[in-house]
Amino acid sequence: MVTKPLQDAGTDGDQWAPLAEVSDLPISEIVTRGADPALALSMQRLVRSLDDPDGVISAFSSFVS
Amino acid sequence: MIPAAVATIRAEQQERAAWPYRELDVEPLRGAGWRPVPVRDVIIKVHQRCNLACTYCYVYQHEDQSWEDRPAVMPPETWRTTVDKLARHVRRHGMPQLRVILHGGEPLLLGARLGELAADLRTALDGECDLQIGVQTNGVLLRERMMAQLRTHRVKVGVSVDGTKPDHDRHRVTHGGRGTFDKVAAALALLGQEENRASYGGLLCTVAADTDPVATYRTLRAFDPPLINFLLPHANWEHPPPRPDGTVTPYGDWLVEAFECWYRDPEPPRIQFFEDVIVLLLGGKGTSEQIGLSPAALVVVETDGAIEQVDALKSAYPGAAATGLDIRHDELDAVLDDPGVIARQIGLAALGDECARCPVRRVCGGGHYVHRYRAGAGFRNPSVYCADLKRIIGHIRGRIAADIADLTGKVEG
Repeated sequence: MVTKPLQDAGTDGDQWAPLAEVSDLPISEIVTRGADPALALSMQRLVRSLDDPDGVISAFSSFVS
Repeated sequence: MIPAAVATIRAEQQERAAWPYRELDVEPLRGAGWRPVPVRDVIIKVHQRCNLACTYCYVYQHEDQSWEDRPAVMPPETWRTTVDKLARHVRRHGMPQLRVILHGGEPLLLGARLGELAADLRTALDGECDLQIGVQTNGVLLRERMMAQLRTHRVKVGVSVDGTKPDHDRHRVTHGGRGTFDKVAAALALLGQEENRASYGGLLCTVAADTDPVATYRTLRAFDPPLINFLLPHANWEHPPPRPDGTVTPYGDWLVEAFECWYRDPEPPRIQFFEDVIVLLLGGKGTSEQIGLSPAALVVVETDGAIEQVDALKSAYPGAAATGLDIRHDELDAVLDDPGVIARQIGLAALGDECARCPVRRVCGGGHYVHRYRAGAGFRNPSVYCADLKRIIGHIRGRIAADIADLTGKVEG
């Protein structure tokens, strides 16, 4: 399952309309149901990132681990 | 008790950057339960000189010129101490993984010695953790013999390339002013060979707003990299980026066009910046310095042993990366008390009032820390690329919202 999608308000109340609610859906299933390749890549990375709750920044942006 | 060298540096930093060096009060954060993230990525400056004279280089062309006072090559005793300290750091924290980037200047100037350094790291750390070694190079010196060494020691290679040959050759030139695209292309052909493919880390492209993003994407794509990243040129409120023709968001516009090429590509390579935006929009965590609120757990060890913050800070003011610490006398954990390091690990608390009011803040994270600098005030400002970041983030958000809603409907249906 993924975390709640961003629908955050600034302190002045300015708010983005929420993206689609996906917090109750298995993201791996969403990906296999025909996401465009670029979107699928990103969603797969989102799944992998769940193993690193800190989401620590990597030193350089040109490496595949 | 703060060591004298550290106190001296902090006093200098306070004059240059009120935030974080005077204004960041860490104690309330600690009291609320915040704890620093130990260093996970270490950038080791193994060579201080470069065979190129790129026009935008933050090491040689910006405010800080400290490279002139450091040894050209890291002395062997400093290297040995660095390796020992890394091993101790890994054991102390029980770290499952450590990433070491061999960097410069141009690290390939070390020649065969570079392979020896990688071997030292493997000997000291392979039994302790999952050690990832990378080298960031301009690619000009990457030939068969060097490639064999990097392959042997499982060193990933990241190469800087700025798009088409005319665009690349405009900025990434030798000291004699000659373009380097053809040599970089040859290096990338070498990396693309089957036996070297596992060593191919990816490409790093610095965006120039007056170039064609479509041609840039296609050129980079043709090198078949496992990963591309686009880097906004280092700039700040004192030295804003060039904006051709007075346009408001040339970098955002450029990234939008590049994003569309990528998003429509039936077999897209990974592009970290775009993936990060999407992951952040979906509530995940970013992994790059350019965007998001993730803690930065990285330090630099200079050729003279100085432990510093990321050297992109050198684009802000002389000494901006300094901590006063030295790998020969201090442990890596000592940087976790440096206000500059702490400021990059506290997420929203590091953002100023204007950013705190903005609904985009959890995605942009205020942008690259370096791009927030304003003389005297320091780093608690919106990014000098704020409008550009809003442009690209808003575009991606709009693009994926409908797609995700559609996919969600398919799953639920």
